Amino acid sequence: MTQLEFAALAWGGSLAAGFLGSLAGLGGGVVIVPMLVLGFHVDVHYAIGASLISVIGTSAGAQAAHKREGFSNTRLGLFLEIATTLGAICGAFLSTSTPTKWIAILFGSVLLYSASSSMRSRKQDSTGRTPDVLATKLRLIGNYPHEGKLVPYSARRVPLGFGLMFGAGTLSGLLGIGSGAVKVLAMDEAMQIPFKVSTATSNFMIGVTAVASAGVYLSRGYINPAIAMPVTIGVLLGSLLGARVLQKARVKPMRIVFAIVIALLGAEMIFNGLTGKLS
Amino acid sequence: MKIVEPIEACESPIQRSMTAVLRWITVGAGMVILTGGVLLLLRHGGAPAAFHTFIGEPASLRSVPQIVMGAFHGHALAIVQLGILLLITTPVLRVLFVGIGYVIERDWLYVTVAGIVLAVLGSSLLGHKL
Repeated sequence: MTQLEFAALAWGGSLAAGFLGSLAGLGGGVVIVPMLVLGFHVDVHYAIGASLISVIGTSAGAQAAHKREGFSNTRLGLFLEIATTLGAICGAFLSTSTPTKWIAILFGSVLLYSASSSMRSRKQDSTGRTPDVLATKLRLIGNYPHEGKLVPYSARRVPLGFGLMFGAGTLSGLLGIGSGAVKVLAMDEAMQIPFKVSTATSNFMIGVTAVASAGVYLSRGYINPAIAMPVTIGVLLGSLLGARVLQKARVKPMRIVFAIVIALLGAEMIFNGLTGKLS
Repeated sequence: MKIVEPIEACESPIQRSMTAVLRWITVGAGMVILTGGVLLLLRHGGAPAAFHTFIGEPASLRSVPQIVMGAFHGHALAIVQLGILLLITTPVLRVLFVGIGYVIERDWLYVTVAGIVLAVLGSSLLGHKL
């Protein structure tokens, strides 16, 4: 394969990944590494580096395209970024010493989890409870609109959420993904933040988390511009396109298709990791 | 998707201009990456793509001064890498701007939080002689 053919195919694949990913609400980053590793036989470290840059690009692009950040809670995001950035640096260092086999198995497991979490219906109840003491001190509170009125909310179980966010950061640094699914889990389930708020806040955090590991990746030579270039541009355009379509239509079938694709890729990553095909 | 007016809609002129700055840097980064990519493919498009073994990028594509120098001399890979560096700065600037916002609000707790996040990011980006 020549450089031109690689760039064209990787660009097309990344465009599709970014498009479908933003429709499914998962971000395209999660399928970039399997696509590069399984489809193009790119070394897993280069794939992780390129994916990480595309995650930063998608996050920056989304924020540049939408004027407002919806219901994101900036204080909550910033506070949790302490945990995700520290985790991301740990993950990036771990990545250099973790054998490809284990990276593949872990990556597959995260894909399977993301697929199942994207199908989970999210309930919304966080009203009528007394505010958490620590959350009040840290001012992790806010309002969100629900059935036409503003409902106040307050974060719960802050230390647990903080710990889970450290884990989300580690996964992000280790695997080169935004790990939005884990971030949303930490906020939804542990801290009981309403999902409109947690989704928007997670988007705000993803780019910052990815940058923390990008520094380590760049200085270690994991960022190959010839791979990162088509991937970043493809994912960015695809996700902007997806966001545009998303405003017009509800896309439940697309979500199911993407979840199945992710689950299959996850199974294949685990299989390849177990059989040692990737090392 | 239903577009609902956000709660924190009271954007100050400073915040608005900061958002605009970030947008231009993002667009600029995309343009630089694209330019480098086009140059790369024009010059080396026919060369075989061999990415299946990890060798690590050369030092000229790993440190900021050398990337800038290479881009200045028109090296296609260095130009792409420069665009990537620009892209990396956008989330850092975002945190910086949010922190400045808290300084204006005199919310010292969150000025500190922003400071910690910036310190962590700085240690990642500069700690390895990037």
